[in-house]
Amino acid sequence: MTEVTFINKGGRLTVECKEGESLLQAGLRQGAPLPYACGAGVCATCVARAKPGTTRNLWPDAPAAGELKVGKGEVLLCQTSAAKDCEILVSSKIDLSSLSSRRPKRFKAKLVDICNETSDVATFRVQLPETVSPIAGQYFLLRSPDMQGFRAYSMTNYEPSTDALNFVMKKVPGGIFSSHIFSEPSDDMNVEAFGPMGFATFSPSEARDLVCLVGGSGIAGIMSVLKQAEAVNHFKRHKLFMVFGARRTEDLFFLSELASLRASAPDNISIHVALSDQIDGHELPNTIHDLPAHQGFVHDVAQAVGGDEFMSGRLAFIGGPPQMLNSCIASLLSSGLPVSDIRYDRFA
Amino acid sequence: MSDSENQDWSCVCGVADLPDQGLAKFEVAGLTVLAARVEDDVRVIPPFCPHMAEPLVESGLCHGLTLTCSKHLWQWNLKSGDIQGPAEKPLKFYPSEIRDGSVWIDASSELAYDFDEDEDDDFEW
Repeated sequence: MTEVTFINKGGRLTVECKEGESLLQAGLRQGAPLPYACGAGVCATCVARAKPGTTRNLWPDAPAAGELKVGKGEVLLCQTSAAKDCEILVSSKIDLSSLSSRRPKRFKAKLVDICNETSDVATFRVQLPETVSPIAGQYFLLRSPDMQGFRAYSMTNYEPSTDALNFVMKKVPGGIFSSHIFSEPSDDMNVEAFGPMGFATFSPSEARDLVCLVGGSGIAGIMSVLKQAEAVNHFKRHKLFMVFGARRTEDLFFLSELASLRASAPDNISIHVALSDQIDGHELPNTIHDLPAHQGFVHDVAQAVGGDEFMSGRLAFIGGPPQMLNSCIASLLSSGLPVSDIRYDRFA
Repeated sequence: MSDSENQDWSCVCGVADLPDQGLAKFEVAGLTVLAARVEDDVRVIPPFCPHMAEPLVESGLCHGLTLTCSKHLWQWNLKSGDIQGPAEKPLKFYPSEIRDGSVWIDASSELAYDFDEDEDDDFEW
């Protein structure tokens, strides 16, 4: 156990850091108001500075490592642990005297119930030793014992309090965690879990119509949002326009859940399927699982089917690969949405 | 001799080389710059987002006169460089003009953003 003191021109805050624990996780679980977005070495939001020799790099090959100014002592809080008692310089925009009441925790958990939904998408459940109360749309960091860094996965389920978290994963060639799920699936696998985290969340009290543009496994956190919305009868008073995209028909999943959701409030819920690959030799069916099907990318289908009328003024949740997110953001902005009404996590 | 005829000015591209909407990347006089049409004029900017140095040729989305970096949704008015929404630093522009259908900039000094706005480089800790 080491003592880590986060310091800036406005103050200082000391927390305990366990052996091998990232500075971000140590800080967040003790209420430190540290900046982050992905918590998984991708986004570089948590950049801070450390003195030479005081910290240990947990994942030198993290995707965002190349963005660091090593000569200035920059580190990723999410991929750095303390080698000794140390001081970490964080942005002076952070009020280190204002501790957060929402504190994620670290768990030793079990990964169970792996289910292949398509050839490269699987669902699984993580069983925690105690209950947690995530906000719909939040995510957890997961790591198997042989992984260097954590990966971020959004929950697909929503309960106000639960010890079982459902996830969806896309197969990543060469990915260690991915290989556990797809190549060597073993029930009851030990994993470390840290959470809940993230800010792309939904509260029914916002009382807004929704637009959801999602591709592939990017649907995960949005399923959680939709389940909470459905549970509180949100769509009895508010509308949902959703486009769910995949390359081919056989890449789609969660369709029965989406069809059931639409059937719960057909006057207010509109859900469409977008398939980006051309279908050779036969025509695209009009519907798939009773959901209208279209050829094209998610953002193009959203504009063609819904247009500004179905997007402007709404609260948007988007999920998917980076290029799809960019296209959807551009489409939403052109429909007049302010950036404050566009919510997403960028893990990839 | 006017500024535009000064030897420090370099031709970036033809106006016709620019997309109707969006940023295009060019190498000129040893600099990497991004150029965009803005109404009947053009703007030429450094290639990075002023926030966290994200390459704007990938993350920059143009809609009307608004430029948005999709990484953290910072926005600017591409005509004035002024911040919009949550952005905290304005855009910098290279001095530019259109000459005979080509975009020219004063490339005498490279524009860069100060990513040490906290002045932590000088902070004793």
